[in-house]
This record gives sequence, C-alpha cells and structure tokens, in this order.
Amino acid sequence: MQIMVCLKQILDPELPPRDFRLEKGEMTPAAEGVPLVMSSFDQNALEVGLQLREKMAGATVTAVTVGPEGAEDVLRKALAVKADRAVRVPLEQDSKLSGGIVAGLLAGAARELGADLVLCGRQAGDWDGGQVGLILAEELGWPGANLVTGIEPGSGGLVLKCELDEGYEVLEGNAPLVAVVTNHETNVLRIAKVKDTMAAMRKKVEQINVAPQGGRLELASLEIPVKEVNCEIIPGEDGVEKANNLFKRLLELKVL
Amino acid sequence: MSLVLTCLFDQGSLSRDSLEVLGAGKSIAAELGAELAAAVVGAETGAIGAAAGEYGASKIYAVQDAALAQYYCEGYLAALEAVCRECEPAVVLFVTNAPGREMAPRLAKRLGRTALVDCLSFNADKETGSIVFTKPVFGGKAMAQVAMSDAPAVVALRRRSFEPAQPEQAAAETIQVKPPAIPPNPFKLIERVEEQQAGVRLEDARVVVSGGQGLGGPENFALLEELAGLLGGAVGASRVAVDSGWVSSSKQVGQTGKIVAPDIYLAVGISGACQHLAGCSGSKVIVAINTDSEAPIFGAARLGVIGDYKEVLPPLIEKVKEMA
Amino acid sequence: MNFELDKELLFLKEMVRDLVQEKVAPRAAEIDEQDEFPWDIKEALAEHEILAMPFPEEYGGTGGKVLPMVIAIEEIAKVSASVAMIPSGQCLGSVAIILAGTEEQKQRFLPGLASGEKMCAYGLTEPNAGSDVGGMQSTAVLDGDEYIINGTKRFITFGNIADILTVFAKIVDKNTGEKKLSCFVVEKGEGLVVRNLEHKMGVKGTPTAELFFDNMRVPAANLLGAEGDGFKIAMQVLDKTRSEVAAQALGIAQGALDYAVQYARDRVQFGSPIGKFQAIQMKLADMEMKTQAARYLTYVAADKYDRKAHDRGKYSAIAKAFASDAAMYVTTEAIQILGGYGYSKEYPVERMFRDAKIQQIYEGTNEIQRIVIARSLLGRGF
Repeated sequence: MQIMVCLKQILDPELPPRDFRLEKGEMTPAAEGVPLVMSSFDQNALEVGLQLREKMAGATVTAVTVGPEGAEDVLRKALAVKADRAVRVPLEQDSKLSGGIVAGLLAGAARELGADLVLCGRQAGDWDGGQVGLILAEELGWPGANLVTGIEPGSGGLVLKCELDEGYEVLEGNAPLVAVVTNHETNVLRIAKVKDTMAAMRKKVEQINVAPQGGRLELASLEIPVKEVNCEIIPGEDGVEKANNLFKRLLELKVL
Repeated sequence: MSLVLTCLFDQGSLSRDSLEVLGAGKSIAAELGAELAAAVVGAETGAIGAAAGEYGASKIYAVQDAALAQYYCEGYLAALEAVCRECEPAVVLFVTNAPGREMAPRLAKRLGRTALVDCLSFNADKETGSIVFTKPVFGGKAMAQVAMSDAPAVVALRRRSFEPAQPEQAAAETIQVKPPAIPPNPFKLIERVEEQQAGVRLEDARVVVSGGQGLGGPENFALLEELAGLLGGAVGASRVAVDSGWVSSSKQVGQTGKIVAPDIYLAVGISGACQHLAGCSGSKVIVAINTDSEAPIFGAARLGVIGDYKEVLPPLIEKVKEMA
Repeated sequence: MNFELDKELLFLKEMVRDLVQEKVAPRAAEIDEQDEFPWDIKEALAEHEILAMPFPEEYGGTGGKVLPMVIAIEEIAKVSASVAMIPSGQCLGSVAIILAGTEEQKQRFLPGLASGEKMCAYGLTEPNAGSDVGGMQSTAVLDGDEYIINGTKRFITFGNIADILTVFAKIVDKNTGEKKLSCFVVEKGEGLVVRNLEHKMGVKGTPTAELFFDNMRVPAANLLGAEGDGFKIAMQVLDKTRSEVAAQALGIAQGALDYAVQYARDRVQFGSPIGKFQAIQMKLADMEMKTQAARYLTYVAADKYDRKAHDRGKYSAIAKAFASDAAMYVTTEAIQILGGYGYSKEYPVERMFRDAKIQQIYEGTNEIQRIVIARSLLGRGF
C-alpha cells in the first residue's frame, strides 16, 4: 500500500495580524522575514498516513510537495518523522488560489508513483481554498472521503472515520481513494527525534515533472480589512468585582 | 433569463442553511436580473421542492430516486451535474457545511470550473453578468475578491453571513431531472454517531461560552457548561482544546469549525488566533477573559477582563442565578 | 565561508522548539514555583534523544558534537533554564568518561546515560574548594582492588538523583603521603549519603545536593585515566561544557529579550506604546547587541571545540563569561522595561533574572574565566 501525503509549504499562519503585510503593488502577502512552515492540516494528514503505515505491513509513506526548491523543507520535515520517500513536483511560486493547478500536478505525481491512497489536508493555512483534495478525487477518478480524522485497515479494505457537522461517521472503502484530512486530538503530528531530524537533511529528495494544466480562479483584489475595535477593559480589584462589573456592563449593552 | 441555482439537501423541512442559501440566491438573482432556482435531491423531493417554492424559487429541479434517500457524495454529484447540464445556470450556490464543502469543488471540476468556498459577500454586475465574491484568506487576516465571470460560478457561502430567505410565494415550476446514471456509494457506512446536543445547538445559541488553552484540561469546562446552561446558551472551544482532547470536535468554533454569531461570545482562556476569530467575529459582543493582557483576543473583543477565569466565572454565575 | 547555521542545525532548532512548546512551556512557571525535578519532561527529552546528544553514536548517542547541543540547549533555556540544565547536566557528568575512559569503561557506563535511563552528576566542588580545585580535601585510599573515598562535595547538580557520578578526590599514598588528584566513576550505593538539597535563588527544579562520602568503596577499575590525571580531566571537561553554559545563558537572554520586545509593543502609557520612547529603544538595542554578540561567540566556541581548534579553551571561556554577563544584563533590563509587572511572579522575567545569576558563577566563575582568557594572551608564567 503506497500512501502518498500531499504537503504544502506556507507562510506561518501564526504571524500576528499586526505584522501581516501585503507586498506593495502585488496581490500576495509580504514574505520577507516570515517563517515558512508546513500547513497544519497537512501535518494532520501526514500523521494519519504514518499511523496507518504502522498498522499495515509493507505500507510506505511518500511525502509529496508542489513548489519551488525551498519547499523541500517540508519534505525534510516529513523525512524527519520517518516518511519513506520525498518527492517534489516543481512549480515556481504562484500560489494564489491555484488549487486546480496543484491538484492536476499532484494527480500526475500520484499516477507516476502508483499511489494507492492519497492524503491531503482539508485546506491550506494560507489561501484557505479547500479544493485540492476534492479536485484530486475528480482528476484521478477515485472515491473521495472528506473531513477524515483517522484511517485503519479493515477486513474489507480501509476504515475511515469522518467528521460530520454534528458527530462523525465510520466508512469502509477500497483503495485507491483520496482522503481529505481534518484535525483531531488523535492526529496531531508527532515530534521528530534528534538523529532523524539531522539525518533528514542528507536524504534524497526525488523530483517528478508534471506538465501544469487545470483551472484557477482570478484574484480581483486582496485587501487587509481595517478593523476598528476598542476593547473596554472591565475594572475590578478581584474576581468578584470584575464579575460584577462585567455583569452590569452586559446588562447595559442589552445583551443579557 | 439566466438562472441562479441553489442546492438543497434537506429532508423534511428547510434548514437554516438552506434558507440562507435561498436568501443569498434571491439577492444575487435580483442583482443579475436572473431567476432563482433550486435543485432538490432525494428519494422524496416533493415537500422540499414545494418549500423552496414558498421561499422564492421559481424553478425547482428535482432529482428523485430511491438510491438518493441518504446523502452520499457520488450520487448527489451525479444528480447535481445532471441538473446543471439541463439548466445551465449562471451561478450555483452551496452553503459551506459538510456536504457543501465536498460537493462545490467537485461539481465545479466536472463543469470545467473552479469553485470558491467560504464566501462572505458578493457584488454583481448586471451589465457584464460578472459577480465578484469576497472570501477571507490567511486565516481571516485578508479578504480576497474573486471575479467569476465564466458560467457557472460555483460558490459555497459561509454560514450566518447571508440573510435567510423570507416566505414569498412564487409560481414554482417543477422539472424532474433524471441523471444518466446514479453511481452507487463507493463507501459503505459502518456507523454514524450523531452528537446529542443537550440543549441549544452551538450555531443557534444566543450565548456561547467558549474555552481555550487557558482552561488547562477537560474538567474546567464544567464551569463553562454551568454558565452556558444558566444563560440558555452553548459551550464552544478553540482548536487547541479540541486537539488536546478536552472536548469533542463538534464544539470547535473557528474557520474550520462552527461559525457562530450569538449576542454574547464569552472567550475564556482563548488567545484569539485569527482562525478562531473567524468563527465568532459575527457575534454582537465578544467578551474576553484571559490572564494574559497581551493576548490577541483583546484586540478583537468588545469587553475584556484581565484575570483568572476561575476567579471571575463563579461570581458571574452567582450574579446570573440572582437575576433568574 | 558561511556565517549562517546549516540547514541541519536549523531543523534541529525547530524540532527542539516544537518539543519545548509542547512539553516545557506549559510547565515552566510551575517547575520554578514547586522546585521539584520534572521527571516527565526528562522522559520526553530522553525519548526525543536530546539526552543522547552528548554521546558518540557507538554508545547510543547522536554524535557528541557541541554545536548541536548548544543549539538545543539555547532553545530549551529560552523557555526554562531549569529544564535546560537536564541535558547540560547529563553532559557535564559524563564528559570525563567520554574523554578519559577506557573502551571498557565507556561501554559499561555510557549507553545507560545516552538512553536517559540513568542520570549522572559531576562531583568536583567542595565546601572549601570551589574555584580552588587543587584545594579539595576528599581522599581516596587504595585497599586491595578498591579505593575508599572519604569527603564532602557540595553544590552538586542532580547529586541526589544521579545513578553515576564522576567524582574527584586525591589519592593518598599510604606510604609517602603523596596526594594525586584523580577522577573516579562512582555508582550510587553504600557509603554515599545525600544531604541537604540547596534552596536556591534560581534554576529551581534542578536539585543541587551535598554529598557525603563515608568510606565508600569504589572499584579500582573505575579510576578514569591514570592516578593524578584529575586536574587535567577536570579542565578538559570544563573546556567542553563551558559552551553549553554559554548556550543556557544565551537562551535566557533571548527569552527575556523576546518578552520585553513584545511588552514594549503592547504596553501603552501616555497614549503610546512604550516601544516608541527612546529610553526603551536604547535599552532594547543594547540588549539585542549583547545577545547577538553572545550568540555568535557561543556558536564559534562550540564550533572550535568540534574542530579541535587549539584556541578552543580560550573561546569557550570568552563565550561563557560574555554570555552569562549578557544574560544578567538583559534580564535586569527586561524587568526594568516591564516595570512593576517585571517584579511580579505572574510574569516570567523575574524568574529569568534569577536563573541568569548562576550562569556567572558555576562551571568556573566569570573571574576564573577572565584569568583563563588573560593567561591565553600573556602566555606561560602569568
């Protein structure tokens, strides 16, 4: 069972809003000095893949990214937590809402690798598109399960646990399939160990070239909304006073 | 006349999500000088179809088949694809709920388009027929405006961002659509566990008491439950609390969790990451209780209490009990 | 010539930071307040191979190079100097074995330490012998195939929880009375009494013990090196570990500086964030200059050690003295910037200040470091 996990390198979404700027004259965020990280739902997808591998003899995890050479850092992070292979599909940085194009490239990689299961995060922490995994299912013509929190081997194939708006459901399906992963307490990405972390730098990253095709959306504008909020700090010497003053204020605002 | 097609998956009666998508659809149709239509899918579509007509849809495209009794992606996609090929809408609208998130991108792909998910607002140009949709990006730190001029524009709207439709009887015409094939569900359902929400649903609550990293553990949520219960509200949580296993993920408020817009949103021990704020920014009054005066939540809250929730909530609970 | 950290080290930094954020940050204040050794965090450090870092690979370690250790210790110390003492202490207590042990001794003692299963400690300091190492009074007398050790050691980090200690004592020749300062590997057992844990100003949660050796019998096979090699071994150990103390100081300085910068951006007085006032800006600039200088001195010292550069001793002394002085300066100024809040235990900077002070004292006081530096300039005879 070859498990392919799709990882995206993005600008750190934890950047505080006051440090977030747009590139002058461009519809992209200013990148200089902003750390680059692996998108968080992709981290969850990687953990799901690693846990499934542990339960299936002979399964392998191949970490794949679409991007420029710098994006290989997320592959190295995957290698540090013992992914078996790392593959980059070159694409020069052009990230704006390009989920359609990325899905096409990942589909090409999946076919060339002969993947049986493709895992993606539900949306990237930058453009929040929420597209790639789903379009990938269409591209490959495979079943797609959405909002998956965990996968286990079952008697009749793979057993997937999926989030619903209220609650969850457990499905059984057969590979090949695409699973779009969301966060859960059971799939927080493990932290690597020292030796593996340092060895990751020396491992080989393969390259698969795929011709870009697929659609994208046209961005008309990108703006940082101006927020006018003045927070009124409730006074009080201790918890009781603060609570009383808060209560009073909420009554005054007519929301209680 | 061009069509704005809303996709409805309810069984029985129209949900709040469906009313919102119909309301939005009506506005877009009015701006474009188009007609409002609804696609209804299921084993029995008569009731929902009629209800959609009562809320302003003038054309109902019904795909009725026993195989579609329960929602599953492949089957409903085939149904909607058939509807779209039949009526060639200018706009296809979903709500960003579990089925909508799944269907919008896949349907768009089948129709040769790319969908836009989680839209907050729109601006239509009757002359060109182009609509610009606004969507939050970078965790809500920026707003992207996307021009969708190629038909159909496939869009999933954020919940609680559009006014629900008002009753308005239109002369609704029902068109039965038969898809060429309805593929079976490639997945077998082993188990479905619906969370029994004791009390008010999170998205409908007028008061939400939400807990984050500052709570330190699951047991401290009991205090929040008590306060929420007294106020007839619901308990929410940040992603950190969910990932730490302190509460179930159905309580997660945020960009990828529930979107809530209560009168009071009480953020307890929540630092205020953008992704979380995206889920509660529509609240009338956000109250932050946090020991860290530098926490970003104080930049978004209307009222702030710098203090330990363990010292603030119990007396607040007493005041609420007194009031009752 | 590249003055940036290698990618490999940057990944290590990030990995340690992730681990620290998850396991250490939530407990840093509590560890300081309760002054109890965090066994669970020690387990996490062992599991992620942080405790294996001082050791060569053939004994279960990750290589034993100093620069990666410095990177890791700095990241930990930013959040908790007390927790940073754990890998630092594991190194200090075992380096003597790594540098002076026979193959047999290394095989016997190192793997248990590399896995973190066993803890170690460095038994050099005595109540009457701190900087004056040669003045120590502990004795070791050969009796058959064992040495009988008597004496008292004080301020021994992890002395009470260590399974293995590298202890220094003077071998007394029964006939001539000649004394030779030597080093032994001592395993916890009969004859070793732990007394009095210190109540310290800072680095709380790091138990510091007084050890009483009461006719403790230690196998002669546990002697490290030859009789009389003790002073040389002690100095060699400190040459290596000084960079790690520097790293701890550096982490403390950086942690305090980061906190002060955040505060200066947010705290509003007279209608403006205080970061706009020149008085604050001057302080922050000085803090940053000293911290960055400490950083590069520390990295260079570690790198020189790894390359076995001839001047590595001098550089490790420079790094240790400079970084610890910088940490003291930065934490003091950080408290000042936070004003009343800085003085309160609700904010972490006062803890960082208390944790910084010891860095100027142990593993060779900064005065001793200055003597080492001066002597390296002036040459023999000074």
